[in-house]
Amino acid sequence: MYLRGLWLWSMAVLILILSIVAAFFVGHYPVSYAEFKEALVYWLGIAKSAQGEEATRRIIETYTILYEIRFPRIIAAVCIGASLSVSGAVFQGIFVNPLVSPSILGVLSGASFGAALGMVFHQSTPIVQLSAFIFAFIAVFFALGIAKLYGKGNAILMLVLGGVISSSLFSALLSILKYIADPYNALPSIVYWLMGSLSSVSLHGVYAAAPLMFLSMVLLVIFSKHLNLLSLGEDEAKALGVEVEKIRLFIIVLATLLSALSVMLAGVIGWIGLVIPHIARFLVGPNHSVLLPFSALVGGIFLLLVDSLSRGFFTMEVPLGILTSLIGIPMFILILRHSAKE
Amino acid sequence: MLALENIQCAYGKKNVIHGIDLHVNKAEVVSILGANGSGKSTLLKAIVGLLPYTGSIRIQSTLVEKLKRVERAALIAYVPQMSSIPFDFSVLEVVLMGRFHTSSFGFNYAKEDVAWAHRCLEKVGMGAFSKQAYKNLSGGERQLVLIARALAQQSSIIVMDEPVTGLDLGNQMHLLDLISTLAQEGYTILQTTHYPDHALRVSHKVAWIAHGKLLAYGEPQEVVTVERILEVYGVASEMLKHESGVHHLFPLGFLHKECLCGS
Repeated sequence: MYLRGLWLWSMAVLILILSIVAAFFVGHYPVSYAEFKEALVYWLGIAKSAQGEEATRRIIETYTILYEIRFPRIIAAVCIGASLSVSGAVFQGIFVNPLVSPSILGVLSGASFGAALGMVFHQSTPIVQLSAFIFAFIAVFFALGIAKLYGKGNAILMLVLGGVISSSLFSALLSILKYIADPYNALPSIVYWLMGSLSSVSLHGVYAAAPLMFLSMVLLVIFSKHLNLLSLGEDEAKALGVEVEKIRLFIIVLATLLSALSVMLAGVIGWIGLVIPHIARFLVGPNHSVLLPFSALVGGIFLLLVDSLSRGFFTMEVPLGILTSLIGIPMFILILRHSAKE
Repeated sequence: MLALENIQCAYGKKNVIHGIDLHVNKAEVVSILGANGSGKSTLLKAIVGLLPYTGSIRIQSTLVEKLKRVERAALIAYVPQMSSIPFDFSVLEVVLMGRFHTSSFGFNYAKEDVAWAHRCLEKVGMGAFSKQAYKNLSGGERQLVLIARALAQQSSIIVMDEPVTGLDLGNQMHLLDLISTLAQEGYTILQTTHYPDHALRVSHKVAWIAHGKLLAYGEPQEVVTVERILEVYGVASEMLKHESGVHHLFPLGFLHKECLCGS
């Protein structure tokens, strides 16, 4: 029924590798293939002593650009694309609704508020990121708390309502911050952050977030049978043996971790978490043990390509969130058209 | 086999089931009859563990309240009234989910599980559909797949919530035959139904539920009576007997209970 064959996976992996390699060459500073090779050899530590000081200086310069500027950005794009896609696929599964996106429980609003709070008080980037991360979780737990408090009957409906309340609350709080923010300094950074970008990604940030992202994704794949059952709805999952309340909470925390880390690094990047799982489901089917890894691959490729586009094809870097929306929306319309035909 | 003792169930503060006792023997089909809102489905959901209840439910000598969900799923399978899955799971994938309680983790189900799922599909006559999307099946086919999933659980008790509701006559008869066959093979089946005729046709026992209480419980011919139909549904009827020996209820018309009280 679906393209489950090895060739589909090989194709995806191949495209990912090619995109990664290609992305090293994209940017304002032109890097030739020879320079790339020299820098790679230098990085691997197998370089013979270079001919002359001038040549060594040039190699180190290229190396710095490739390793300290482009490499973290490439890794961040792949990890964030993968995380947002997996997070979206997971939320769609547990909410038994293919139209859900990772922001359903308020994670984006919470993170936005947290980041803005840091910026209003002129904090450094790591503090802003930490604040975004913490408030992402506060918003989600607020939503879960509301759902738990009143959700005796339909738990999923109450979770959605909890998410709506939490999102609105933190959006309102964000508006207050925007209103009082210094209009020459803090306000532009808030607005820019809300559009999403990978331009401020550092190697440290990526090294801190990537292992956590990878771990969450692996755990979610391990729980893919639970996710399959949860995507039938609460009653059936319970009757078939899932401890729904505990497992759902565990899975929500992992999926929130994925999206919170993404937002922390790159700001608000929309549509990936909604569109990519659809594309992946269309290609490999809804079984989460296949869907989640494949969503990760497609999401990683997608964001890397979009980021390369934003770096290489415009004279001024276009914020990522704008591009992912502008590209994601027509893709989504195409998917809708296809599913309407079916 | 299955013993309910003083089961009470509430939605919020409203008590829906007021103390029901019921004993079901192995390899019996028990049909639960009652008007809309009498608490039939609620009782089933309590038995499967989907709703909190007080009282006790035992399967053989095991107290099911003490069990984890996977352990409960190994003893008792549930066929919901309708399952609308928004994702394109294949029929085989849906049936394999019945094997969850034996292998909850990991990438795939074992070969034996897949083979067993295929056999369950064959048994309900859906073997040819294994690769199709569950979502695209007709109502009758979906119901059969859900029964195959219940069989895949390998639990000796199967609880079905109005299995024939919404099906055409052919599918209704197919399903009733399947229920009888399963009971002959040793499965214990508990179903709710809106059709007294179906209860007469397939059940070993019939339970009447009204206002959350057990009104009557016994052999079908003894408890499905013209008087009871009038009492529960307010419908006058006649009991006819087909030459094959099967009893059959013929409704005459709707009577207002108030009118009856006056007469």
